[in-house]
Amino acid sequence: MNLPRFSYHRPTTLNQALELLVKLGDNAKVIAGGTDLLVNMKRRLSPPAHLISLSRLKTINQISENSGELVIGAGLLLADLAKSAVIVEKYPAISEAVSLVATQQIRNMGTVGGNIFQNTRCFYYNYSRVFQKIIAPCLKRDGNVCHAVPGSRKCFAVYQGDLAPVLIALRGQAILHSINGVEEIPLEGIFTGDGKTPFSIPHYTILAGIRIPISGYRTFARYKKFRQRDGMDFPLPGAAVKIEWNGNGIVGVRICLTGVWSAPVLVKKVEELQVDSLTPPAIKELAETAYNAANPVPNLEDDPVSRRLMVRVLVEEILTEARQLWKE
Amino acid sequence: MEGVKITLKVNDEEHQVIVDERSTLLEVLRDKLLLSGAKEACGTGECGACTVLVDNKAVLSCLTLAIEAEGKSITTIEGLARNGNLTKLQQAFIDKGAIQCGFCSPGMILSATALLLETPFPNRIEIQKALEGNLCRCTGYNKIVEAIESARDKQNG
Amino acid sequence: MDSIIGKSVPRIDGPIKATGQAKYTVDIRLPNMLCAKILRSPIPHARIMHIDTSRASRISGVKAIITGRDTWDVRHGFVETPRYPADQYVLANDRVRYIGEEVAAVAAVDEDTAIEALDQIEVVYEELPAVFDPLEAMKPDAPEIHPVQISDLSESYKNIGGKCENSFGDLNSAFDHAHLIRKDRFEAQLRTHCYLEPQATVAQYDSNGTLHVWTSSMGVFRKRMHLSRALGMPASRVHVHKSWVGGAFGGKIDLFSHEFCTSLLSIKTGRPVKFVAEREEIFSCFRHGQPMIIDLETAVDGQGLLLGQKVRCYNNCGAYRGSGAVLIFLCWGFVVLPYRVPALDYIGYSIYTNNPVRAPQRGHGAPQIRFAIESQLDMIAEELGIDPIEIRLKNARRKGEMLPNGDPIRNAGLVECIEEAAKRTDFLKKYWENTTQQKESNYIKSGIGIGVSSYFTGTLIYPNNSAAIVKFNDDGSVHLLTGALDIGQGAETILSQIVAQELGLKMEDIHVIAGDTETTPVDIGSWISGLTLITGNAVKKAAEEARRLLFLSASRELDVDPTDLELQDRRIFVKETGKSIHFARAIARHIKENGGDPIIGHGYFRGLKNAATGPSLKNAKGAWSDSYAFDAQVAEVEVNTKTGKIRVTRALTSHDCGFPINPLLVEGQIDGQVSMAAGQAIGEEVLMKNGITLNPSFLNYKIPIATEMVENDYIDIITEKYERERHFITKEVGEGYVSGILAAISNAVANATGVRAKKLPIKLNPIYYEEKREEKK
Repeated sequence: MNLPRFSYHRPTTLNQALELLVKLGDNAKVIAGGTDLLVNMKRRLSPPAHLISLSRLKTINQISENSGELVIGAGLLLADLAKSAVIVEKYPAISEAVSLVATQQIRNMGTVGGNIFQNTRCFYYNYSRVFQKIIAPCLKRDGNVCHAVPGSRKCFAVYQGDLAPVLIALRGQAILHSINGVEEIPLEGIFTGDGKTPFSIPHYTILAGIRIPISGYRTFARYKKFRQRDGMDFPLPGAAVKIEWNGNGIVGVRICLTGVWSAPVLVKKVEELQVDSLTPPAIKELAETAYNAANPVPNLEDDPVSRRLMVRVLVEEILTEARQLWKE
Repeated sequence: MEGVKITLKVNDEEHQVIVDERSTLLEVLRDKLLLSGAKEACGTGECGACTVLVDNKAVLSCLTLAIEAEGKSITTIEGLARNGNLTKLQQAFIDKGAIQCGFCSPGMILSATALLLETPFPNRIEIQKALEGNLCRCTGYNKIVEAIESARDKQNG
Repeated sequence: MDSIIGKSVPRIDGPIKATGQAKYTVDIRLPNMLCAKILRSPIPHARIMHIDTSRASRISGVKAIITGRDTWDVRHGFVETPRYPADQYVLANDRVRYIGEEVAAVAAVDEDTAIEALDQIEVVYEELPAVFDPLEAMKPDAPEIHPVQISDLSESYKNIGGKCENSFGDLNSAFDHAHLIRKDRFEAQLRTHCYLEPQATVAQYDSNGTLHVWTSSMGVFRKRMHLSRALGMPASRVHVHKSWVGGAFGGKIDLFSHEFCTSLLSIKTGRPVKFVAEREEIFSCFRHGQPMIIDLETAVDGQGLLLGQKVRCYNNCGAYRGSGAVLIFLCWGFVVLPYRVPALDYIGYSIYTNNPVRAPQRGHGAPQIRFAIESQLDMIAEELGIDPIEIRLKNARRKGEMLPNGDPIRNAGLVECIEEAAKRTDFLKKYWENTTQQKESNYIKSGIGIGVSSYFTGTLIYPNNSAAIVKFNDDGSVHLLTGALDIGQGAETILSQIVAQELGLKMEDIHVIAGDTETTPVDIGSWISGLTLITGNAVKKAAEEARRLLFLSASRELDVDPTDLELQDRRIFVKETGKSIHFARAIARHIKENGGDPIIGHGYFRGLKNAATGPSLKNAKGAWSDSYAFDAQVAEVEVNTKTGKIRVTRALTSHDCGFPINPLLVEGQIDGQVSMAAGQAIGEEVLMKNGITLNPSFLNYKIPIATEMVENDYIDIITEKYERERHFITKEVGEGYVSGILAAISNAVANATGVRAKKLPIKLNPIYYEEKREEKK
């Protein structure tokens, strides 16, 4: 299975890359590890005429911690993120999430940015041109029909990244560079919620890194992933939960899901609930709230009902663990 | 059609090859360097049969652009044995019955080699996890894991 | 003399596979080679109104295009008998009957050009109504995929591709006298082989008019037969070469369109042509295993003894007959084999639907049937208040019994298999503990289950026999020429062990030349579970003849009777005195005394020597096999009732394989089959909707990965032995162990949860547990 032809550009600085993006416009895509993009290109799913490699950009593959604030370079390899001492010691949720991404080979090739910017997925999309001849092109393939949800005008292709929900739960800020300068927005802001065009940031922007701000509170964060098999299987679903305590009780709960929608789902309703402590009824309510926020459709393996149920199971498990720790 | 001239260091030997920008490392290894040990069983990064080592890390050569492999040290299955002497791991695979049809074996052996380089004394769970990306349909993985454990235990003499 | 039979010697092909030197069909490169691609139907059922290849032919780099017009209406099939004539086309003629059916083939200078050519071939279809469900397809108003050709079909069913009917005993009386009758429906899913090496063929038609073929297969002689017939060429002009095979499991047996197409394209272009299937192509339109619906009605007495069974099998064989007609016969066999069934009413139907054709997959009916029978037997046991071990011991076949078709059960270690399995796993203790635990509130449940199965060892279906040649080199080493093909199971190794045993040689003194239709003699192939028995005995005979000639000349050299001699390590000894000579001397003497003739031993062997043909696929009458393997397998599972996830943690296989030639290789076969069974039980399924495959990738078709490895244990029950100057009886080990574990897993899940799966894969609904937990509160 070969790749289509393209022109390959290898800028050595971020600025060069940004200039190329402007110059080449929509005909170009950035590529880091390529483990998501190259597969879609082999399948001739909107292959770009130009690829701009980020592999030579040294400034974006560092990880640094300054006074409790963490900045993870988008170019960092997933395997290197998993091994990073500060992650292993202080950010178990990130460590869990990244060590569960796909397989060792993929983690040796893929980057943080690549994992965040992975394309959405669906049974009716992620196959070759041959498949396109058998069924009418769907909405994500620039066609008129959705095969997963007949009659739908919205594309329900699923976002299944593992890192994004954790970073969002940790209040991660996306550091975005363009030729106009640098901008930071909450990571959840880069997603549209639309399966066809999942990312809202302008085409000429590159993610340089994620800033995890200091919490100031005692923090517990976990990521759990459910899928039929380990290894390459994507989260169906995944749940990231962060709890912050001060001396008196819970100050904040953030829950972010993946594998249930066309974007990570930050469960906003959780913030409206006044949860002081993780009593069993509170855990149940939180888990139920997360469950209600998930609305998968039948477009991947595992039926939507089971996938939704797993949200509750995973969130309950994480909160129960947190409760144990808090009691100690 | 114009190509790009690159130098690839494969199994400690330098090769000058002309490739397309779109050529994958797998294609170049098999079609230009005639090293057919790395296999294409899926082409989409799901089976691990194309696994090679790049700077001692296991990667999927079917999703690696050949251009990007320039300047790195690539090891294929053909490069493991030295002067005809198989590595302990290769010998263990043979002795323990870890090879049946053999199609997954090159990728599997290389993934295991990378594991032992990084983690000289992995436990069974770590071994299984390291092999998650290498599919095998013949062996059920049992004797593959036994072979790696055996090679692990023989490492210090 | 040390026996090498029964020794776990390392595989002789281990080193070349461990170093990447082994060449598979996908690795074959020939000068001037073209790339072939196939155009496939996107519609499940349609008339082909028009094909226009002119635009495609004009593309620079396109060297040849063929369509049904070029194939002279040639037909082929997995079976070709008067009752079941060949019904498959190498390229569609005027109709397509499944999505993926081959319509045209192109040979071009590279992949891009070939694909471009496919895009430019215009095909005008007139869509026809399609049917995908087998029970729907049988109805009188279903769209007709093929006219029914079977004369004994009294029912007004449509789309019947095969029927097998057999009954014996007094079933009415059995039902009348029964203490308990259970009727259940079971469904086994569409699963697939997932061989790692894609289907691939290289064909080269040379200037002498010989067609050279390398193809990933399960036996070179069968491929040669199919190709020579389909191409209208004499078999002597079709040379199928040996290449290593990256797995097959039943999916690479008979003729595939791409084999024919690459051959014809090479004939037309005069250049070598190579086709390698894409993985998505394999998942969506190549041959998968056979799905089945089984209606099982069983009558037992108060102690659980089987009195009679009524069985109806509905096999969805796909758009052409494929192996369905054989499957429904085999299913009869897997009903009557491990247990004594006094009365039976069996009918199996193989039903056409507008889906890709199906093929054998490891077990070919045994997994499906044993899943049904073993599950139901556990249900019966539960209702009667007896345990799963007792009920099986009661019904297990024993040595000396006879199958309904007259085949004797020579040796059956089944009772011992069951007893040993129960003992080794502490079965009953765990079984009762788990049963009690079902009602407790913990959400991780343990389960243990047992499954019994049996399998045949070779049968008469072309090619029926094997021949082998052992020739001595001057220095006492030998060449073994055998048509056998090593598809991963270790054929070349065990055949070498047999030669080593007969001639007292070391493994490295035996050089194997195998799997080549030009240079090696005919062989039964690696797809009928008969290689060790049939080919093994042919090899044994060839080695025996070589030894006899060697001893004749050695006896003269040493001045003793040939019966006074023994051999070891290339030396021939006088048993009493220990005086010895090297092989080379005996060989030299033979050559001198026989006018220059070297020592060459020939061996021939055929199973079922007294049977004219194989068993009847119509009514299961006639001799089926020489030897039957038996096994009892126990599986232990862990079920997370919150998530519904099932983990197979341990498996024990207690098996009567006769005797193992190489125990390590037998273990390897068991390991692989346990893995395949676990996959089939828990997650594997080819998902199809209206003829479209929804999950054609390794990502979405869930074969087990390394973290799902099952801890295996093995018990060999030895019932046969290897002896001098006698053909040996052994039993197959390559297919029969899927079924017992599959059934055991299902029974184990029931033991853990109280939930009985009647469909595969087993999908536990977490909602069920949610509700149960709510109820408790």
